[in-house]
Amino acid sequence: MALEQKTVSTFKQILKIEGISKSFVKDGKKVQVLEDVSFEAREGSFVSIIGPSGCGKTTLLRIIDGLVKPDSGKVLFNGKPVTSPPPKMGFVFQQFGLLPWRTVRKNVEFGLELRGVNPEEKKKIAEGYIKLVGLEGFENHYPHELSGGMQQRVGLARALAIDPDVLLMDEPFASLDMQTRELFQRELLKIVKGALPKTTLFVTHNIDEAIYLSDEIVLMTARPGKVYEIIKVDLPQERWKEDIRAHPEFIRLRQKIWKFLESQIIEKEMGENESGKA
Amino acid sequence: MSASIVNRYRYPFLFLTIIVFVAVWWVVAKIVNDPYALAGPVSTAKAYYQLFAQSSLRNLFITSIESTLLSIFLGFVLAVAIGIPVGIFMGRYLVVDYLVDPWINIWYSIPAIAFVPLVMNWAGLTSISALIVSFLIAVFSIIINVYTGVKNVSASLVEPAIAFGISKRALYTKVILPASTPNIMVGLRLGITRAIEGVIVAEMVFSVVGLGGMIFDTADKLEMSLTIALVIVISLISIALNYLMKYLDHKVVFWKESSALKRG
Ligand SMILES: Nc1ncnc2c1ncn2[C@@H]1O[C@H](COP(=O)(O)OP(=O)(O)OP(=O)(O)O)[C@@H](O)[C@H]1O
Ligand SMILES: [Mg+2]
Repeated sequence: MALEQKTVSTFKQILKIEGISKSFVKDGKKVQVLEDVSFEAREGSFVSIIGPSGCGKTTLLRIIDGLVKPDSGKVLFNGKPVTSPPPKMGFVFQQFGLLPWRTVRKNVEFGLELRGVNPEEKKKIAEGYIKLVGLEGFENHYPHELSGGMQQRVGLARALAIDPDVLLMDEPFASLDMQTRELFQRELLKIVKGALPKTTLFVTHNIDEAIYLSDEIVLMTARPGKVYEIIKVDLPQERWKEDIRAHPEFIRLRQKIWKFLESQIIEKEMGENESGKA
Repeated sequence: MSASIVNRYRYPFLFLTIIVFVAVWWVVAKIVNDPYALAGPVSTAKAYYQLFAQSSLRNLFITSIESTLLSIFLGFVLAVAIGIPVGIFMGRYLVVDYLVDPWINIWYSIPAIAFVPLVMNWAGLTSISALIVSFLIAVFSIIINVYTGVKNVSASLVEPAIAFGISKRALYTKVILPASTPNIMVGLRLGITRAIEGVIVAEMVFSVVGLGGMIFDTADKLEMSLTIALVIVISLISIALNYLMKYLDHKVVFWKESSALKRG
């Protein structure tokens, strides 16, 4: 039964990003941020986006969620072009974006409330997700009473509560220490690959994190951000069950991505030096 | 000195400063030795006795307080009722902001007393005029702060709401307005101070209504101890209203991180 489901979903491309370009005008000058970005995500897969700072990763997620319009190209979600935030997409923001005057529960209920879910059901659903992210007992706390990691978990619960098919996550673990971070990575995988299957798009700067979590990694170049390569991560599923970080394939991928990122940073700095001389 | 010690002895300290103040006042009054220039604490205390013991004076005192408080209250409530919607409107529509902003700033910089002769011509030497003056000078501090708040709501609060598909209306009621409450409360706190100022200034010029009028009248009759007694009453009213607003502020914006900042 489970196997059957898997083979069916393997073929379905739930998300198609086709030729996205985007520029901003800054101080009267046009800055090209994204250039002809294309990739796809299979239903139920975990795709990480990794690239140097400022290459347009956050902008790309915003475009995928319909929060920002691209200059050209389109995003197809279940075959339909995205023009405004689709109800079946959840967004976990880098700066949490919790409403500080609402308790944890009220924050998690926020999306449900906007969709007119009745109060009893709303409360029940919210409590379920609060438990899932391990914040039981903190329902009536306010964001300023929580640590950064706890706030991030509220942000995750809030995005999961609307039961999205696609989860967009923008450097969600950046503010966590190493141990907590690895714990969160494992818990996230258990959720999106187990308890509540989702298609996940995950932006990160952390190479190990990308390899550990992903089925595919989209490598982006420095600004203007282009897709350099899409790497398939050929590691066993249910990665939380073994010490995957010692796997030879893991080490090979880490080296490969590290080399690429290094070249991008060096290239960028040389470029800046040249323009500085001119 | 550590903050905990300061906190523990906060009220004894306050009491001590009051004693010192009264003592200095007493000494200065003794040195000046002219009851028409400066009444001392003892004669001021006697003036309070007079205010409560003499029935005609007492009646005047009570009606004056009533009139002053009512003018402040109505002027302030009117300023809030008009200032908050106008502030939101300005924050919402950039065009309105550009058109109205310079006018608001010009108006805001006019001192309260400049309105008094104008308003006097509209509504006479009445408490209604005092109310209008207090409204006119309170409303702009409220408008300015409300629209500053609305304009500066962080994108990091608005964006998640939009990602959830929030409606235009709900964006205002559920995100932008609550997020602006710290600024709105600043506006209200400034507004109440200005409303009090407006009423007293107007009453003093009219010299026939309210506590301001009584102060002017007693000073005119060279009853310095009564004048000082009444000025103290006005200060107490002002302190009480400011405390009330401060209390409201802490109740409403309990979630603001900066309000939890510790001072040394
Ligand atoms: N609304 C905007 N207006 C103007 N410029 C913008 C806007 N949003 C983003 N940019 C610019 O686009 C570029 C890419 O920004 P973006 O936040 O997408 O990068 P990023 O890859 O997410 O970076 P980081 O890894 O540091 O988070 C930056 O140079 C930024 O200044
Ligand atoms: Mg970013």
